[in-house]
Amino acid sequence: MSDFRQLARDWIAANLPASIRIAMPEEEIPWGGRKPTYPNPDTKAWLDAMIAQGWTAPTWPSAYGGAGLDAAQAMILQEELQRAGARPALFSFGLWMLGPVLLEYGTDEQKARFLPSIVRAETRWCQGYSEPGAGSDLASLRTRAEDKGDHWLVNGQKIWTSYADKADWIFALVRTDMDAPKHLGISFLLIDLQTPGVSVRPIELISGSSPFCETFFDDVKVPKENMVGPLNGGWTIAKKLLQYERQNVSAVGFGGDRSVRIEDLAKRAVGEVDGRIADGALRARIARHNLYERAVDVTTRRTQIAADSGDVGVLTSVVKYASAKAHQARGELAVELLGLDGLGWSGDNFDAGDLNETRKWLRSKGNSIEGGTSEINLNVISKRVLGLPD
Amino acid sequence: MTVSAEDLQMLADTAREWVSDNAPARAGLGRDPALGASQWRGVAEMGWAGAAVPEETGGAGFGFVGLGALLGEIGREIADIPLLASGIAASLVARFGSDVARYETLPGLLSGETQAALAIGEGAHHGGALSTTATRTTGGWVLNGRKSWVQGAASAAVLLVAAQGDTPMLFLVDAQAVRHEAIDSVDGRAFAHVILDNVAVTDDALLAGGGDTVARAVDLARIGLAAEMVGACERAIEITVDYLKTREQFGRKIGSFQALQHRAAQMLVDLELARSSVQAALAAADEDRPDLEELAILAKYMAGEAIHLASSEMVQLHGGIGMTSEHVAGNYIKWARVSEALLGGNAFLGERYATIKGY
Repeated sequence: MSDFRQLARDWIAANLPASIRIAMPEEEIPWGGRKPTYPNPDTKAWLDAMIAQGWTAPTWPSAYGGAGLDAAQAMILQEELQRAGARPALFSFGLWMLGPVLLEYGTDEQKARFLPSIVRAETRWCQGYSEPGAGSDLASLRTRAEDKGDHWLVNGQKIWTSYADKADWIFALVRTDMDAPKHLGISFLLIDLQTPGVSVRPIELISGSSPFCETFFDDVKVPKENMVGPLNGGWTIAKKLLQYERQNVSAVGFGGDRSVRIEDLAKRAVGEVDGRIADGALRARIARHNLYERAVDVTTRRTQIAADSGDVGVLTSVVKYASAKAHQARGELAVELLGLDGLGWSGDNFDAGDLNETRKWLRSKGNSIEGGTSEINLNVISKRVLGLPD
Repeated sequence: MTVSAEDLQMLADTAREWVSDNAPARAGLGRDPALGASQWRGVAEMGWAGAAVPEETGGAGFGFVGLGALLGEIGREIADIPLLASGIAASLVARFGSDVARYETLPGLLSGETQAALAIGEGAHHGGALSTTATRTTGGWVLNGRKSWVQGAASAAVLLVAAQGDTPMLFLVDAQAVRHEAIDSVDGRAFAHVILDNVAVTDDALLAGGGDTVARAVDLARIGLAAEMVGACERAIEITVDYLKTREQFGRKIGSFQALQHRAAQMLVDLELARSSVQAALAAADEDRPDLEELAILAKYMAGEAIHLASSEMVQLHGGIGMTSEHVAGNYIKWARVSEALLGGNAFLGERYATIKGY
């Protein structure tokens, strides 16, 4: 066994608290930030220990709080963490999306200023991309940043900003040239959400409350040094970041909750004979679904391996499309199996777990919309991978 | 056993060039049996049959990952080259064969001089209990039964035969001792039923490991077949996409229509899911993982889904020309359906998966 694997294994054994070796309840997800919540103190202890090792961002340079591991070591670390059943120490759009972009496009000053606080879970970031009139056609965004000499003056509105109400900063796409062709007039700007003129309003979904918000900018002053990359050169960065987002959405966003197995719902619905789902046709459907889901899992894993060696590639669109399809199929199966028990909204007439399945089913309808619609992902695949003509 | 990504890529590149030069997919009905022998000589000279056998036992040491890469290239051209059987037979004999088998039969399998066939399936769906029997005699066994759809049976010198004794057992059988019943299959590949009529073998013919060895042979065959299917699926999509880029209707390339673009993209999604599944299964075979059967089922199932879609769309998206025997699309759809059915179709595999997973 490699020295590093042994080191990682021993360290995890010594530092991973027993209480967080299991599935993570939503309220215990460690998001960090200026106002963090850690209902389970072990979550904080595990996070601190991982931060001290630089393992919240294992491949980032140690100068910025990472551990400077190469791809092979990072893979070994990941395997050992999985083997130990460790929860992720930190959930963070900063780690998953902004950090890689800053490492590639940020100035030395920007890296030194923003990366360490991401690694140490001190700053919670959200993403300001979509607007009411700019969803799939993201480049038609209208939020503008005007050059006022010593600062940018930002006006406009973002939508679908996940956790904007809990975040500290936002990385946003803004229009900096109203006359240029739409892809060429966009810049990438970092905005402190405490700046006067920023306001946030949560959005309710068909599944109930949600992490999504609308974010409004009303004469918001942003320092000039907060622009990442060249003026009007934000679209390249935006596209790169979207790849990270798709990779992340499919790996973490859907299907993370496997606490209820679809085959157990089926046994409850139609009974079992000798341990088998009593209805053969249903059993076959469940098996087919589970095989598809497992194929998505191994593909997600393959994509992560490709990403760890620096090749994010187009597999992200494949995984994004397929995992949305799998998760939605699971939701439909669950609600069908529960029958009317799966169609309650609240109250003591319904089992809490069943109500959760109902909400998950409704929420899954967004999986093929958020982070790039399924249609956009099919466009990416057909144009960029298969090279089909316009 | 690990092989570097660069070595693997080189192996695949070499194989792609050789297969497309020497065994390209052809349109039309029927097949040319004379081609088979010369193709096999080439495969043997390159040492491909020993790809999955470790170097210390005389193989190339590329692991099942390496054998899978070669099978993928054979699959791309839907070539009727029985490397799957010989490659797997070599690995099983190297690992589980008796001393006699390892000293006398293995060298020929590794050099490719001895071609092998896998006589492990029975019935139209290749599932369920074995009806072929192995009866104990003094110093050996007598085999009786009928194995179906054995690829390359006629050209093979030895067969691996699965039969039911006290437990399922795997035997190395001289091809001279069995009868063949050639099958004129829809895809033109050289399959035969193999009839074992009081075939006597010695104890040396028995591979160690009992039922696990039979199960392993089936798992490996499913994975190898899935690797071929992924290759064929990949090529079917390439040919179809090339056509979408050149064919014009309504004054435009038909590949510019979003309805067709999305159908092409969905083929690629299924292909990539199948590719990941096959890669996971090949790695599991090299690592001897306990969930090998699950992953073998996953690989064959997903490869089946992917090639079913791609081969059907290949005909449809080519329009009328795709229905003619002068175009290769028909041979891909026929080859696909035979491969889908071999070693268990997807309904069978789903059922088996549910059973393993306890529901």
